[in-house]
Amino acid sequence: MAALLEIDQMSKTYGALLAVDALTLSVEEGEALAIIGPNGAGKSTMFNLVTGDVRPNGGHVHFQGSDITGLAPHLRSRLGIGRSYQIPHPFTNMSVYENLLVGANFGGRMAEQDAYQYCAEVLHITGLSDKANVMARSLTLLQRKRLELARALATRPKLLLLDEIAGGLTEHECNALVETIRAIHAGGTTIIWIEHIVHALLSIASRLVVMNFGRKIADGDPHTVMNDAEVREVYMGIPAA
Amino acid sequence: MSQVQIERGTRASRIFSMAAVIALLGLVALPWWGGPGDMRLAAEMAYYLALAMLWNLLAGYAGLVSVGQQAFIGLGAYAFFYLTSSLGVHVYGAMALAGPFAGLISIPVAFVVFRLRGHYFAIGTWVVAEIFALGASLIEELGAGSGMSLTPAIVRQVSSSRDGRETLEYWMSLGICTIIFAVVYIILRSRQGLALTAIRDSEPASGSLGVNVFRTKLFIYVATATCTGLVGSLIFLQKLRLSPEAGFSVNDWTVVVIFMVVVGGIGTIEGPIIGMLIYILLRELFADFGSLYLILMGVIAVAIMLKAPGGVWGLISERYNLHLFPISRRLMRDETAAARDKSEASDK
Repeated sequence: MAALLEIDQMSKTYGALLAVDALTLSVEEGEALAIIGPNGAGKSTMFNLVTGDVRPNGGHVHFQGSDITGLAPHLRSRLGIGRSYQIPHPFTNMSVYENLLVGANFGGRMAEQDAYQYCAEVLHITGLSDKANVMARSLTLLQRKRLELARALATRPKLLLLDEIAGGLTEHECNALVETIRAIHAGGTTIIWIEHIVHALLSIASRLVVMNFGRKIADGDPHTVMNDAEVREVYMGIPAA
Repeated sequence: MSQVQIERGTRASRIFSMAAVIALLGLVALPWWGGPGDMRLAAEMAYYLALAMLWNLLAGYAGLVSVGQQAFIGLGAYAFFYLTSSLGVHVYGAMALAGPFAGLISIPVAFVVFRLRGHYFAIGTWVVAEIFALGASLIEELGAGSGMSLTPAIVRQVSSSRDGRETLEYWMSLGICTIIFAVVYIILRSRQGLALTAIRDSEPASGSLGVNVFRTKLFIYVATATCTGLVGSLIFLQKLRLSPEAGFSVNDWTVVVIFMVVVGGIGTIEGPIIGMLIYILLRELFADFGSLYLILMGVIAVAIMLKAPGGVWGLISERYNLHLFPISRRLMRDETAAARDKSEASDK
């Protein structure tokens, strides 16, 4: 079976900085892939390459078997790639519900009436029902993170990219968000999740990738990877014996 | 599953829209209860409101802060004068063509200026408008630097009497303003409006949610250029004389319009109406003071930008939670969903 997403030898440089260095990664349909790595390891840049927010200097990305390297972000969204941003980008002067309607109408290509119905359901799933008509600018951090997730879901993504969606949340809030994400994954959505909160990641992920200096330094079963000597050194600062 | 209920109006907006229709009928009847001076002022208010609505759509929603909309006033006006004077097209036919002509020219212009971002875009649009002004002053067929005048024969195509002409031109201004207002309102309430409001708040997020940012902006740019060209032909039908400086005046057709939108409240539908009324009121009260009046206008604009970035309408709407022309979609909680939530809560 062909992979849902295939990143092939992709690179991105910012001036002299090599943010992503000939990265190759493939994700199967239905997987829940976790990505960790120190700050500046190229994780978010990798997401931007997949969504088209950033143009690569080299390499290709395939989605459902077709080359999408040259596609604009809105076309990738319509194909089924949804994302959340590390720093939430809510549409501040629209209500929470209208934020979702944008995703459903355009990324999800739904008819207007279907979008109304579907977005009401997404609000319910993501626990934002009572905030439906609240202006997005008045949301708390947790609610903004939930809105990022809900808005991406409104596009009915096949692949969902989550960029530090649990960062900055309390333990309790984080657990609640993990349960929501678990339900979304159980519903059949493939997930790639970047996070520093390893225990949250490992409660969902079936596979773990570690990045450093734009490269993949480990890839495999989460528990094997976490016991890898190089990973322990890079990520947790435990010197290799 | 039951259908969700969406509410798109408010009680205030329904009452207000009835009041607006009555006011509009009163304005249509102005020739019977006002003098020629009133009609001239009302016509000017109408076309300034149209320009303010258009600039607001462009800058306040699509994020295209253009300082070069006078380009399309001038293009529309020159097209109108050339078609009537040199090609013998009837006044109404020429007006109908002036807008699309400006719109057509705006397409290649868009591909140039859209490469620029933020303040570079603003400067770029201004430069383009200056190039058109210089171009018009070099072309002999357009009267070069001294411009063109409408002959009495052309003017008589509207009406043979002066009174009839003033009445008809007033109605045209009112009609075009009403149509442009309706078009802007319909765009903002449609799916396209949803995309526009999203782009205004965050371009990258709009793209990642499937909104074609470039095409949406291009559509708005060309649509506003078309309408601006139509308004340009109307303004200079009333003025009878057209020169490059008058047709492509940045002060008259853009700076004044920006003042209205910023003071009234950018990014709202009500803002341009309030801003136009404030501008006309100030001008009527203080125009006799000469340059002092311009300083006063500048002080007001700066004070509003610093103290109330949302403009006068922003203050009112925040204070009283008032929306006279609502474009929002409110989700109404339907009974079955409420019951479902309740039963889920009691299960826990």
